Amino acid sequence: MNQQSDRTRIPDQVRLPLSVAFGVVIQGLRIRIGRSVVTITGVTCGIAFLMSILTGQLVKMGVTDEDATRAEVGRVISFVRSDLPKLQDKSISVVGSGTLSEVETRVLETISRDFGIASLSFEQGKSPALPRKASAAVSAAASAPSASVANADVVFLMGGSDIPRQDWKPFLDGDLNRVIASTILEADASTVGIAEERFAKLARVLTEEELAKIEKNKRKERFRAIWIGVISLLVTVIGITNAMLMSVTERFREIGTMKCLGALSSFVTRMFVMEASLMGLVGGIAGAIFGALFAIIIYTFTYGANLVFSSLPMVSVLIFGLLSVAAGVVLSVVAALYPARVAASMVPATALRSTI
Amino acid sequence: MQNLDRKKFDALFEKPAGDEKSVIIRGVDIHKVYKMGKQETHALRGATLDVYRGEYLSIMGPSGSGKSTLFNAIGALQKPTSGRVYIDQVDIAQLDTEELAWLRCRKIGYVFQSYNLIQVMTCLENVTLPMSFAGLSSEEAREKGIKILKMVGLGHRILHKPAELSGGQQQRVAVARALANSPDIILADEPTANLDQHTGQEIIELFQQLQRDLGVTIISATHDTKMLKASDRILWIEDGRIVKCARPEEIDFTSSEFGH
Ligand SMILES: Nc1ncnc2c1ncn2[C@@H]1O[C@H](COP(=O)(O)OP(=O)(O)OP(=O)(O)O)[C@@H](O)[C@H]1O
Ligand SMILES: [Mg+2]
Repeated sequence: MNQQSDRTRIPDQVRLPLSVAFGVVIQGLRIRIGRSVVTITGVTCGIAFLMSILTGQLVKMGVTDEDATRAEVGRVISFVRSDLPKLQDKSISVVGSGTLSEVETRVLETISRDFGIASLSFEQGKSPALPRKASAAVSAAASAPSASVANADVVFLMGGSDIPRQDWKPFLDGDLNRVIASTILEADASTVGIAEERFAKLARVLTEEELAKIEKNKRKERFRAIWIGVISLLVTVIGITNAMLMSVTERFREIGTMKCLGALSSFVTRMFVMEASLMGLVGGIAGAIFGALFAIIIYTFTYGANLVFSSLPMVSVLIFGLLSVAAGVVLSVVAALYPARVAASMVPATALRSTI
Repeated sequence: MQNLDRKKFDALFEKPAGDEKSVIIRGVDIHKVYKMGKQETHALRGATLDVYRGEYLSIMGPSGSGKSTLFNAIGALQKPTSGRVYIDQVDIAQLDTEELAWLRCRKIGYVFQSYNLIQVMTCLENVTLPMSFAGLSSEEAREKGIKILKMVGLGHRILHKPAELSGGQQQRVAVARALANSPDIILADEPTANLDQHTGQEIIELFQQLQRDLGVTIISATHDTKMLKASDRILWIEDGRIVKCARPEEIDFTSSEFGH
């Protein structure tokens, strides 16, 4: 019992280390596990709502893109089937440069699956040419990639805007039934020096109208996404604020007691912030998982599992998931901060009388 | 009061020659007005008192006379509307929040009239909470908490929640919590009100033991004749003022005032 208090030492003794606050928080969460679960569920619901909306948007956008891609691939393939000489038993060679677009990759896949590809050569020194999906499909079918086009019956030109440098002479001088088909927009018969009737343009130029329509749709989509995002964020904010407000205000009396027993306001605030961020983290992670699963399952019913899973950009889902978890933590802390501040700054005696 | 000469005022604290009693709490002209809308309640109207170090002081007064308000004021839980409170000769109005927290944590142990135990915590957790505020490790706190709970006769109930205990048992938990950080002063608001004769007597003996062995200053509001008899000094509060001061031996406990 120290009779004369050494006042200079007081602040050190009152400012508790973070570990003590953390201990009290963990103990508090464990003790009122039922209440904590209810609050966490509130956060989970909010974040799950947000995440399901975001994932839904991703699915929808992915499905739209996927639909367009599939339509374009279908168009190119049907063109290949109808306008080129029968490809069965023909020696097919693919020459490319740069990176293949998604449509080209799928076309390549389809051709290699249906007819087999004899050789494949891509311009060296360019960016890595084949997406993984296509290279897997092709390497199964193709012989040495360096095989020349000289022996090919049909040559596909694919990839970036550069026309692959190639010695076309042996090909051009050989059998006149041999053709070139190109998905490169900029390439035409004259660039290779082949007769018009032996050159098939698979690429299609979009008309101004089509471009404008796509642009307009995109803008509409973006606006819709932002609008829905804001609304769902608002709903989430309200849900979480409510959960946190309840969890803090019902403990005014307890806070008063703690203050009477020598807890600093800052300690009380810090405790609630820690508690809120913990609950926000747990609720946010659970909510992100539930929300994403919910949206995916729901859209699987409308679009079918195949379309949804092949079009869903997993990286974006993951990023949105992380953002949602962060939102859960931040919103929880912000929502808890105000009532915690109020509670912490109450006069101990007043807080004690609170009957909430 | 505000304009009083500082030196003259400090002189008031100097021990009278030949008297080894020193003042641990001094309240001077304390007023407290509660405002509820337009209505004002004058709970304290100029209470002035000295509490000496190591004494056992009882405060008596009818319900609503301002006992709890006085406790809050001299216990640094609530600022009075006017007047001064000195604890260990320090004007508590001059203390910052950290120093006040230190005071509440280490210097004073409170037994509240309505216990104010934290319902979701066990008895042990209630008792160890102020210890963790004082920076004790959880093992140390646990050990000390069990010891104190045994001392107040609740050794077999340490893991029960307050709601599972009788009023008297809760009161003893409240007393145990007040003792948590070995305070210099114990402020107890009706600590025996809900106790039977026997446990009431035990609390009184506990207080006397603390006072005798550790020099703890005990201030308690009570109507309990046994507690009054055990104390060194009794103050009467009426309508927000201290109206009388006496030693128990000077008082006729058989008078109607004590319900006999
Ligand atoms: N927070 C408050 N707000 C408004 N009025 C209050 C408040 N606290 C106390 N009062 C009033 O102040 C007066 C004194 O109250 P106090 O609680 O100090 O009395 P008490 O002597 O402790 O009574 P009891 O013996 O019943 O506990 C009462 O008239 C009460 O109504
Ligand atoms: Mg009272």
